[in-house]
Amino acid sequence: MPWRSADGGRDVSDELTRWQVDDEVLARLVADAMAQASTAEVVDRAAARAFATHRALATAREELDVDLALLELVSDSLELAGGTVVRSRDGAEPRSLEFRAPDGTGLEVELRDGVVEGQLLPPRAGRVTVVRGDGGTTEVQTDDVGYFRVDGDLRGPVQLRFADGDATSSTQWLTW
Amino acid sequence: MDAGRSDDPIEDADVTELVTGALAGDERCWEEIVRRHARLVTARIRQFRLDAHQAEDVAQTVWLNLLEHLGELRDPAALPGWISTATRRECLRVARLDHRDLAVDPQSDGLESAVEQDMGARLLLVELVQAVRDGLAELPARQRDLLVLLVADPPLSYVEISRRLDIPVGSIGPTRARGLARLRTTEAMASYLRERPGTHAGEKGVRDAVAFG
Repeated sequence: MPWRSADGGRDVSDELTRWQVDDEVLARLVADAMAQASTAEVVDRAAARAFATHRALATAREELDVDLALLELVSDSLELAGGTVVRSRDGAEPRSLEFRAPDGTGLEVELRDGVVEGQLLPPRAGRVTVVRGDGGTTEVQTDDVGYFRVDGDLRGPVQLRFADGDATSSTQWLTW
Repeated sequence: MDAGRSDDPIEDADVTELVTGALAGDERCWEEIVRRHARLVTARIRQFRLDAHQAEDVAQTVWLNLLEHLGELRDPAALPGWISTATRRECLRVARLDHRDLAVDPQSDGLESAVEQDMGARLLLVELVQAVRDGLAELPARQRDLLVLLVADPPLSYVEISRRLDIPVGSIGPTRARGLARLRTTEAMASYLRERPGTHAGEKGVRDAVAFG
């Protein structure tokens, strides 16, 4: 078979019945139970943190009376690369992302070694805010053609926002 | 599934009510949305075998995006599909950030259906594994401790297990066999089988039962 699953082709559907008659399969499910409990806890904890972050950001937005237009991710070099290796965390190749709104405006960014460089599309001046999963933000002013650079170790969920005059747009959250 | 309505109005609320509540800042509504759908996220993360740190990043990213999109949700029935797909995409990204060779070819329809069929089985596996965990809690402490120590990662030697549990090395095998046999007959496992009649050993329905996604 040309494809193999992420865990080496374990036949899960077979295990759904064989545990009833095979001690080795049931013992493996016991091992799974210990591991799955910790994954489920992580997922629940992440949900609580996401809610806190979302509320804090939503409250700030309401206070400022800002409506956010959501930008779509239209390309991610990680996706274009399929299963091949793209080095974005060891400096060999940057990861590039492009986000667009339905009206064609948007932004391009490149991530390399904790540095984010990007440009507003179409080129124009504005303010870019990097929002992290804990709700923390870093704001920078672009130059006249919309170029910006943010330094810092940005890992985990990140959202970018930009404002130019009267409009504010935001990307979806992505794991960086 | 549930025999009747519970006393808790949140547990009985439909998704639309929960979404409205969560968007208004009611954390209990959000927790109920999460409770109903977390297994989808857990199953995906386990499908990709992400470590705890990656799992946390993926889960938080998915939940944050869900919160951003909740207001646009028109069809509550679409929610499980949205969560499952969003988690898969994020798992792929994170696995690729980690330079993992997943042998994934996005052009291949065969691959997509293999991944999704696998996912259907994995959702059932998440439920089975939860039943095993509940079943373990029903066992006498000695049997439970032995079964858990025998699957420790990294593995423990029989001598070490014998020392920790104060039982002879020679009785580890028989105690394990008795523990596993007893685990099969716990209420948690019986309940799992009652609720999923297609998963009895020797029954033919299980392949059909997993062919969703």
